[in-house]
Amino acid sequence: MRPYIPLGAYLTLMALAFALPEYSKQIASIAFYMALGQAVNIFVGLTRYVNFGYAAFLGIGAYGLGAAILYMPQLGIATIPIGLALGMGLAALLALTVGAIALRLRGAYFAIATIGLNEGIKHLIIGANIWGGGAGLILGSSMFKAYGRDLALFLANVGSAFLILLTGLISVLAMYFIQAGRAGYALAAIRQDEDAAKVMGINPTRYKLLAFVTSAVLSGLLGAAFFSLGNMQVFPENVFFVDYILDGLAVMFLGGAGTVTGPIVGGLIYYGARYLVGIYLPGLQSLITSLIVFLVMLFLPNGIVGTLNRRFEGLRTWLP
Amino acid sequence: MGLSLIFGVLRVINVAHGSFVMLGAYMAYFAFILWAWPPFATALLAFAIGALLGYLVYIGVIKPLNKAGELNVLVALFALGALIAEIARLLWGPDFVGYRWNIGSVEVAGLQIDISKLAGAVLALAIALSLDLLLKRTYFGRSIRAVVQDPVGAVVVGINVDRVFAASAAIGIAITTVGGVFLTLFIPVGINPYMGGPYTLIGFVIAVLGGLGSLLGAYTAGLLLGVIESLGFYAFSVAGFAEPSEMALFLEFALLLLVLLFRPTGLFKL
Repeated sequence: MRPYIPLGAYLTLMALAFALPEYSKQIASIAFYMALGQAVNIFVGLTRYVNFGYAAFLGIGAYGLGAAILYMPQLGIATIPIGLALGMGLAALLALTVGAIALRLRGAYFAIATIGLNEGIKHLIIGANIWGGGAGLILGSSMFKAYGRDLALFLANVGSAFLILLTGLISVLAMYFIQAGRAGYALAAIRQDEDAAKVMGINPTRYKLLAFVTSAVLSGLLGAAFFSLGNMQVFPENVFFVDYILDGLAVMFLGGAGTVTGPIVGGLIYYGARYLVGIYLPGLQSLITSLIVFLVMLFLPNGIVGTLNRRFEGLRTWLP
Repeated sequence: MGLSLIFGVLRVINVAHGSFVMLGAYMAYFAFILWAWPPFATALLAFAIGALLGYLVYIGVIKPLNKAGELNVLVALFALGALIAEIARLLWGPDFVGYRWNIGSVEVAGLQIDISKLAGAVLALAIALSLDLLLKRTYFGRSIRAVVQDPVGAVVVGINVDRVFAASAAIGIAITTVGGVFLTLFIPVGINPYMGGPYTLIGFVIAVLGGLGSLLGAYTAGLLLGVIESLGFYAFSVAGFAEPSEMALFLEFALLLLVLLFRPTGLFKL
């Protein structure tokens, strides 16, 4: 496969975010859906296991950066790389713990374990009152103080859009390298017949865990970029929001599960659909989301890019 | 229990579980407010509506997608659950509603217990027992168990597997909806379109604890979880956590992971 078109799409959007900073919020929103779909795709698309706990990784990543900005203001601008690393590290840790337990189980049981993940972490944060508990973290004033007003606003607009797009870009590369190497063959074998793969000497848990942790770390980065940096606040009810799980699944299935270009196409269409619904039928966005997922599952299970690839030979090379 | 039945027979996890609980709760609420129906009468209506919905879900979602793979069914059901919750919000608004059905209380060992709650618990046990009887003693029950053991073998001896699947989905969702009706007896003001979320989690914890596919196990596990939750609430309030009820919910999630880790077949399966 040649990943030039998806990579080009992200680079173009990055250039746009810098060239037109006044539109960076819109670009960030579109990119958020794209990158969410990409990150979900790395796990769900590659393993065909379903994870209903996705928002937990977004949230934990957002909390990582949020905590760094709020509790280590003396470090100045260095809080951002430290916070991002903290968020991704926490997401990786959570994914390793849950994955090591639940990925040894088959599809159905794994889905059960993840469905509680999001609620479980949210209730832990609110209940044990860590990181501000139910009141959340408000980062605006700390960011203004630590970075100065102009830099803080630049980071919240252009910086956040850039980081979100970078998440998407890394996801494409991660997908490319996973699929090109040994893990790609192993995962393809597991998708087709897990028992047969086991007999052939593949350790399914190991490769599933690889995909799971990769996708969790990228979700953590995305959450940090979108919530902490972009919105300058982290509220448990916002970041652990069930709708993001459906958003990610909608974008991925709309574009095509297991394809790299799919989430880009899906993200564009999905953002457009939500935007139009927001104007003409305000308050119905969530309704439309679930309807889209439901209808796509019933009538277009391969997604747009997946269906196109099946119909036209050779297209797969250019729209991987 | 509904969750257990559907999984046991169809090997499909009803991730829309909570939304059907919510529908049952709204049925109890409206029947009580509009027609002053006692919840036990509503339970019959809920069973009928739930069965119809379950049948439609099987025909419309599970059957066409089962060939495409487990992932597709799960995601479609998850979306369906969210869709039902959103439609409920459109129709009935996002606010919490509730009612109180007061038929007195009895005193047992110094504790005041509402008769309505007692009756709810007893009736739930009655449903579990009669369902167990249905599965063990009737022709229909035997054919369900045959399909569970060996779908291909069941076809060979002339069982209509498709019909058994449809019936299990219908009964499973019907019981879930009835469960929602009974739930309103225990939560005086807690009916809301999004109430299903925690109950999906609780339902899964119970189903896994009791062993997926085992009905009396599900009932016992339900009781056990209730005890654990109250004890946890008490322990967390003593320990001085700010929101003990939130911590109790976290405890349930931790419990789920532990059970999946050590006894994925459930606590009661021999």
